[in-house]
Order: sequence, then C-alpha cells, then structure tokens
Amino acid sequence: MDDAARKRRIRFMAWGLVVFAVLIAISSIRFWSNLAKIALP
Amino acid sequence: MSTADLAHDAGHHDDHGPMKGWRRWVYSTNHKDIGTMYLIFALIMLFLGGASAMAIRAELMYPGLQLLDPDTYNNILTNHALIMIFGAVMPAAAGLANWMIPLMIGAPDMALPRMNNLSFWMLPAAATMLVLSFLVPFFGMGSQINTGWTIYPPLSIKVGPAMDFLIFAIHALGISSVLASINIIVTIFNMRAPGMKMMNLPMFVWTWLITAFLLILVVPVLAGGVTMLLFDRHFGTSFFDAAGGGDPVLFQHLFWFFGHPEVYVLLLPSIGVLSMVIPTFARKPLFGYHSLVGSMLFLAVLGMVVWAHHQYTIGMSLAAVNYFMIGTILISIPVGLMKFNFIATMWRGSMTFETPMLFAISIIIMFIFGGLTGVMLAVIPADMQYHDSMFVVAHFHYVLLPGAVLALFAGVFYWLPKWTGNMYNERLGKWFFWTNILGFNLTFFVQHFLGLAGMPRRIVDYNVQFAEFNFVSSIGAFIFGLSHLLFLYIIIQTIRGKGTVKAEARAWEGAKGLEWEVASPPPFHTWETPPQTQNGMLVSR
Repeated sequence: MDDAARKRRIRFMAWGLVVFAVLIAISSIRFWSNLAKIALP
Repeated sequence: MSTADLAHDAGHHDDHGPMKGWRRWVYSTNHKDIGTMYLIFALIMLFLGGASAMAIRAELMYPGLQLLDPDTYNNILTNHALIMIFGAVMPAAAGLANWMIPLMIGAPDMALPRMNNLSFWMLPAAATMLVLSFLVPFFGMGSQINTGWTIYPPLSIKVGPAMDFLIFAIHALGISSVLASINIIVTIFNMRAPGMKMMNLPMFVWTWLITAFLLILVVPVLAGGVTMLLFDRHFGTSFFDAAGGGDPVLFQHLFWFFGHPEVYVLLLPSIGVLSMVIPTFARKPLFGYHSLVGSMLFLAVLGMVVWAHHQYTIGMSLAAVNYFMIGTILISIPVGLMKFNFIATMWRGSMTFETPMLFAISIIIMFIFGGLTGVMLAVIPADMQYHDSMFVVAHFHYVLLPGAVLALFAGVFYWLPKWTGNMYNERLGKWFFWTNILGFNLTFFVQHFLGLAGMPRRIVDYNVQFAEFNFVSSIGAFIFGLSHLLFLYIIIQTIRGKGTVKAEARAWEGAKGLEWEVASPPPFHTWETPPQTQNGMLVSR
C-alpha cells in the first residue's frame, strides 16, 4: 500500500470511529434507556 | 551500530528533532514524549489518589470520628475512586501504549500524532475539573459530593455545583479516552511493519486493541448517562426523577453498562504486560498465544453483557438475575484460561526472579483470590448478604490492585531500562515489591472478614466490634502508601542514572520483539524505515 492510500485509509477509519462513538452516545439516551426500561425494570 | 542508529542515519529528519524547552512537551506529537507525559501524569494522580486513600484509612483506624466529618469523608471517597480509575490507571496504561505500541509493531509513530497530543492535553484539564469538584464546596459553593464514584441519582441530582464539575470532568476524560482509543486502533490496523500479521502481534498490542474497542463501545454510554443527569439537574427533564415519571434505576443500568466493561479496560492492558514479562523471565515463548487472544475476545464480549450483577438488589425479575449470574460466573472461564497460560509458560522455564517477574507471579496468585471472591459475589443469594459490605471493597481491590496497578508497576520496571537507558536498582526494586505486597495484603485481606461480619462500605464510623481488623487494615495501608515513595525514588534514580548500570538495547536476556532491537534509550525517531519482519521477529532493517 502506498503512503497516500494508507493516509486515506487512516482518515477514513478514524472518522468512522468518531462517528460511531457519537452515535453510541446519542443512541444511549434513547435506545439503551428504552431497552433497560423494558427488559430490566 | 544499533538499529536505531541506522534509522537515525537516514538524516532526513535532523531538521525536525525535539523542540526546546516547554514547547517540546506542549506541542509534542512524538509518541515517546506523549507516553512519558501520560506516565508522569498518572504518577501524580496515583499520589493524589493515594493521599485520599491514606485519609480514608486514617479516619477508619479507630471507631468514632477522628479527622473528617461525614460529608468530607464521602467526598474524599468519591474522588479516590475517580482519580485512581480515570486519573492513574487509565492514563498509565495509555502511557505504556503510546511508548510501546509503535516500537513493538515497527511504526515510526502513532497514526494520528496531533490527535495524540489532544488526547493527552485534555487530561490535565479534566483532572483540574475533577479536583475542583472536590474543592468548590469548601469555598461555599453548595454541598460536597457524597455519592461515591457511581454518582447514582436521586442523590446526585441534589448535590451542588460540585457535581457539574464532576460531570464535565467525566465528559473530558471520556473524549480523551475515545480519541486515544481511535488512535490506537487505527495505528495497529495501518502502521504494522511489513510481514507482521495480526496473529504475530505482541500480546500487549492485542490487549490494547481489544481495550480500545471496549472503550469506544462503552464510554459514550457513560457520556450519554451523565448528560441526562446534567439535564435532570438543570433543564427540567426527569430521566431519573421518579416524581416526573423517570426511573433512578435507569441510570444504574447506563452507568454499569459502562462500569463493568471498564473493569476489563483496566485489566486487559495489564494482562498484556504480564504476557510480555512472564515469557521474558521464564525464557520460554508465551504458552497458547491463539487461545489467549480468543479468551480475551470472549472476555470482552462477555464483559459487556453482564453489567447488572452490580445491581442484584434492585428487584429485577428472576430470569434477568439468573441470566446475569450465569453470565458472570462464565467470566471465570476465559480468566482462568489466561492464568493457566501464564502458569504453563513458566512451567519448566529457566526462570529468574527480577522485580517485574516477582510482581507477575504475585499478581497471578492475588488475582485468583480476587477472582474467587468475584464468583462468590456473582451468586445471587450470597450477594444479597455481601452487597454493599466491606467484602466487596476487599474483592475489587484484590482484582484491581494486582490486576491493574501492580501489573503496571511490573510494566514500568520491565520497560524502564528501555525508556531511560539505565537499569534500575534491583535491590531497591525488590524492597519495593515486598513492602508493597505486604502492605497491600495487610490492608485488604482483613476487609473480607469485616465484610462477612457485617461492616457496610462507604461509612465514616463503625461499631466497636470491627475495631481490631480496621486498625490492622490502616497499618497495612500506611505501609502500602509509604512503599510508593520508594517507587518514586527508584524511578528518579533510574532516570538520573547515578549509581546505575547502563542498559543494553536488549535489556533482559530473554526479551524478544522489535522494541528490544532499538537502542536504550531509543532515539527521538525510530523505525522511520519500516523493518522487515517474519512471525513478529526482525528479519532485516
């Protein structure tokens, strides 16, 4: 893999993980709350 | 000429060596400098958290109130846990990761060096807010934080502005952890030297890869939880307020969905350290590499789905608690497998007992003890008795001190010659080990009996029937606390290099891996030309 391709892959992965983390944080407010409420009263 | 010298001879980076003065550290993008800053930060926090532990044990030395009023005691208790977990253990593990992962995989630096700088420099800001959360009540700003590190509502909704400092500190610490984790994952996937496949990675790198994924999965949940708490406190929501239709137990689920995997976040890098130390001093390859990787993955997955064993007493359905009990007991399988791998690595090895190895062996023994009390606590009817008692305090200190802190000490002693270029004083290292282990066991072993006899945790005063064991525990704690001054002395002495022996590139006879192919201390830039590797070993430079 050349350096430019590696750089693109690093950026893609890093931004992907940032978006993933933010989505988990946001979804925890709704999804995890609801799951915990329904499944584990 | 060492590998590092060869790499250095490339010459094309001579115009961008380390900056001078404070700029070198504030603007640093060098993984070694950032690793050093993480480790120094963690050491400062260790002493701050340790000082709070000493205050706790000084208060509990005798029945009755000696030094602290109940609110201050609870405040110190809360800060002790948060400082130790977020301030000391996690940054220390991140420091080891920063220093060692690029060296181990043959990368010139982390994949995202500027983000690495940001990850670190968020920590002092977060720590300042954390310390302010402790201090502001003393300046007339509301009540002290009396919730413990779990910050359960409704109590945490009622605490004064100190809680807001704490919530923002948790946010900043969380962002720092997530950014560091992203960096580590991206580095491991993209920056490995040619020929180094995933199943050739040193075990320390594997443990950090799994830890980083765990952090990204669970820290945002805590961030979501404390944000909801912040909204309940200031913006009229009632996520956790029963009066407004909310549910305080909901916060417990969110907290422990983070909190239990957090235990493995603290443990896994330390297991990685042991996986490097034990083969070196047993002079044998690690036994069962593939099974160890598999068991860690299993542990990480299992660790994410057993969180409610911290909440057996809240009144869940029988089916739910049974599930959490069985899941929790299953954890002993991958953990047991790891321990057997370590024992099998030592079996018929040509062992020597330098300080890192002494720590490693003692950790295996003491961690098994903590694991066994963990199985006891996992059993629902038993936990109903032990819940919220000093037995739990003894259990998690037997897990986290050997499993996380002492293993980090083992790592520091193991890699200190690499970092500084000087061998530490072995005699002093052994003195530190024995006083540390003696103090630790004296402090926490008796707390099992206190808990079984009915002494609750998180209390400032207790019945006189608990006096003797508390006195013994406090004496042990003071020995344990003082032993760390010796640790500090050894580190300073090794860095200064006075009266020490120079370390070779391969500081330990049995050490294997790329990190031992560069000089001790390594030059500012390493592996600028990626080394050729086969089965994780250097083939050509």
